Amino acid sequence: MPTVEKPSRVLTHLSTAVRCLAEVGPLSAPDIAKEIGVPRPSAYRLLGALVQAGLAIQRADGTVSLSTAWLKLGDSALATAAPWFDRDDLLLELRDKTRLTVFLCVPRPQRTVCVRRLDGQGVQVLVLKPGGSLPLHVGGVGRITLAFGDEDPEAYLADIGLDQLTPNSLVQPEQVLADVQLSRQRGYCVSDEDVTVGVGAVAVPVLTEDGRLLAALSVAGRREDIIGHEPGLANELTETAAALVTSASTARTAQAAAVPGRTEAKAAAHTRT
Amino acid sequence: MAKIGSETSDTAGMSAIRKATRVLHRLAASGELTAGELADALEEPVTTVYRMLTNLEGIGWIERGSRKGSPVRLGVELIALGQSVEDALDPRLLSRAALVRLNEATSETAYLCVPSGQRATCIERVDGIYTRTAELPIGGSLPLHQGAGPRAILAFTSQLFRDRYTATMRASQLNPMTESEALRLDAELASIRASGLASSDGDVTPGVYSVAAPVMNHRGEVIASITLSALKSRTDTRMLAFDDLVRDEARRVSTDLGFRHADS
Repeated sequence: MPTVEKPSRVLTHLSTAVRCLAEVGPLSAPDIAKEIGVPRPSAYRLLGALVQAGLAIQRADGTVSLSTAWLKLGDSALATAAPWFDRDDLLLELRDKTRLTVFLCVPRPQRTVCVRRLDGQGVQVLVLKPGGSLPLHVGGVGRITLAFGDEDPEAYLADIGLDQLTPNSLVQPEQVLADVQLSRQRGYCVSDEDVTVGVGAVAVPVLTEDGRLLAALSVAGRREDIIGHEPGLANELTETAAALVTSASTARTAQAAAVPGRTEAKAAAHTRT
Repeated sequence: MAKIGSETSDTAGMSAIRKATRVLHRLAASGELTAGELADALEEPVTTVYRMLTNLEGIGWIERGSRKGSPVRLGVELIALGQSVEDALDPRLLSRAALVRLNEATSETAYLCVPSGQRATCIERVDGIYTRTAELPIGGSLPLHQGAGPRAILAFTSQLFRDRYTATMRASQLNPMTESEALRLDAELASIRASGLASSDGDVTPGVYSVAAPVMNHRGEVIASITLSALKSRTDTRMLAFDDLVRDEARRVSTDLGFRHADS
């Protein structure tokens, strides 16, 4: 008699298997069984279901790898996480102008999640990649989100332990609150090796016309390329942030005109140019 | 070893995966939906959908707003997974097989160009058996408006990129592009977009005929081009066959990279 597995357990195994395939690359059913600690027959069933669902493909050598269906899911997730964002070219331009790594991150409870990263021409900053997140007291994008986001900085600090990632990380709540004040005054935030030693960043908020935080935008690179150039970089960032919002409000007007489609047209615009 | 997926098991667990996949695809197509809208779209009882959403939220594949009845959307975890798949795709490796097939079918030279700034650089090449065209060795590059391979890329860049490119070429110190040349290029790029093919009849190397097609990624951006190049005297009647071969191979690589063709 086949054992009936609980859907929640199956989905947990499914997500673990997918994560393994994403991190390690193609794996066989026995590999998966070992990685996630399930009997081999379960691993075969799991991978079989993934292949049948079109989420994975079986390769000639019998191993299984994730299919390109994930690209579409990832793009759609990005389009709904930041429905106002449709100007990748503005980020490209910022990257080409500054030659630094560009990050766009959206606020989520107690963290900021990277939705887009364009690698710079010098050193590549690997600490944050699309889908990854930073707490709000860390890094340019985290700290600018704390300064301009919905979350109350004091409530955030009461909930969270301040880990020290580098000797430059802010570890005292008072330091973080002072930093929030400074960011609000200047309109930008500087990360000087507080996430990764040797790496700096400048971040600005992407705000709607009525001051709501849509995202954090930053450029990051070698400390030498950032420190000493903050005001100039902050200007470039602020201009790009403003342009992102301008096109966003135009898009919103267009969207309001076509209510039933909601984000559908948007998702289509993302996949096809 | 048993073939994966050969077994038609249908335990509750496996049907959960099928249902989860349907939820994901539905959300990918529609953006944000409420549980009720999802239940209607999937023709599932709303209680089933609720349970499924709770499970999917648990693994980070969907997100729900904090308000009761607020809509559901795909989770940011999927952005991370999509990125991993994108990072693992290697256009050069995928194209290598296409170049080999082109070479086997025609005995001629096939190469892969990628854009780098205002030039296209050859990063992979399979040489012809009887003749070897000298244009674009591996590592060699040409301005984006010269030769079939580079033009197949330029034609599919954004309007903004093309406008800037032309402006730069026209302002060039050395041998600037004239207005009539710019207009001719613009018309030519439009016809490349229409046919999906760029050809060059001796405009880089006299006597060499080349045909190229763009390689697109899942975002619909052009990331490379595949070119087949031969001595003109050897092509003549074969040119038409070349066109189809190159177009098919470039499409195949684009598909492998997750590009969805308009007609498929």
